[in-house]
Amino acid sequence: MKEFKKRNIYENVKISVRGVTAFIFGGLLLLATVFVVAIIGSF
Amino acid sequence: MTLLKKIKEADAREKRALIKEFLINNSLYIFLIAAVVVIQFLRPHFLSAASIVNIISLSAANLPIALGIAGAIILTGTDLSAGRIVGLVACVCASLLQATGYAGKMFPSLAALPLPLVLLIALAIGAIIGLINGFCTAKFHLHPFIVTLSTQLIAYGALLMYLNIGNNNGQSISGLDPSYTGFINGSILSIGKTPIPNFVWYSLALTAVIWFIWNKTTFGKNMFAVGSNPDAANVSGVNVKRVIMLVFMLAGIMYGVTGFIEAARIGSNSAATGLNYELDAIAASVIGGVSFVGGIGSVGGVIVGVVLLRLIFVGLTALNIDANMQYIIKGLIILIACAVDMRKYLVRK
Repeated sequence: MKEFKKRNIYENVKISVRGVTAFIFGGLLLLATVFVVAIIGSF
Repeated sequence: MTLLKKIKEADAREKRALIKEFLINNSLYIFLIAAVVVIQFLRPHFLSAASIVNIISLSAANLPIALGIAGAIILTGTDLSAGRIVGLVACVCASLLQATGYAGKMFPSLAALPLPLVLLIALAIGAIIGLINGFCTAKFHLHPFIVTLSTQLIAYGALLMYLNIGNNNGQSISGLDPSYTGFINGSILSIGKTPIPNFVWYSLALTAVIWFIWNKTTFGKNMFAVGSNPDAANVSGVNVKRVIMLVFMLAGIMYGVTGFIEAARIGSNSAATGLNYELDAIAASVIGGVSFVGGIGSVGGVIVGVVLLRLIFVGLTALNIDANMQYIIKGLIILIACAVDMRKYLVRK
């Protein structure tokens, strides 16, 4: 029988915080890239 | 305990954690301020007196609608009808305040009504639609997204029908009475040679009233309580249904004020007036720290959100960036602001 990895609630929240933090930094990087592309394109 | 005090009293490891949290929680502000600095570097006239007055004016025009929508967001809802209510009110106000003798007057036999009466009509229209939104949300437990989507369409249909009555035949309404445009766009103070329009002061006065309602009245405290936990608020004796109805009604009143101001500010009002205003207002509220999980928000935050958003978009226009690209940037800013808000909630959990 396949064993499922059980996580406690605290670990689930920690993983979510890490995931959202990574999403925030990814989003800011994408926003910065879009800004730079837009500024270069306007010249 | 303030953040600086916490950092001073913490040990090295806690200091790093506090600084890291501060940087992540304010990452969007830091980014937007850096963007403004870059724009100022590329366009030295970006923050000139005329430009600053322009930014202040545009922010002041959007502030009442943002404060109205912020109230709905604090209740874990939203209000998609805001823009169309603004458009409807703007067209009604414009039609009742056209100059006597104007060739394309909508109601030729009607003289321009007194300003206080038209303002009352504007507030009444906004309040009635807001009350409908609140009633349907509170009494029937319908999601505010669906209710306000419906009233958005109803308001738009009413606006289109209104524009076809009298002599108008669907055209835009312009030729406003000089007393109306003077009341809104006139000026008593200037920055340098650039006059500050009167509606900036009206917006600030209204913001002070909303701050008082949110922070110093029982209704305001109940609004935050219902947004945080409606069941706990109910058990504590708060009339949750009445609070929800009154918050949406107050939001409607704010949209009425916005419509009254916009009619004169724009000068020519049509079915497109108010289109997508709610998107900017929601974006500004979220950037300003109003949380979609409910019960969190401040008037100061909404002001910061409105000003920052306006600063960025005036800056992008100054850089001649494609208007279509601005939609992408706006969407990304909203996404990141929501992610930051969700992270704060998860960290608390």
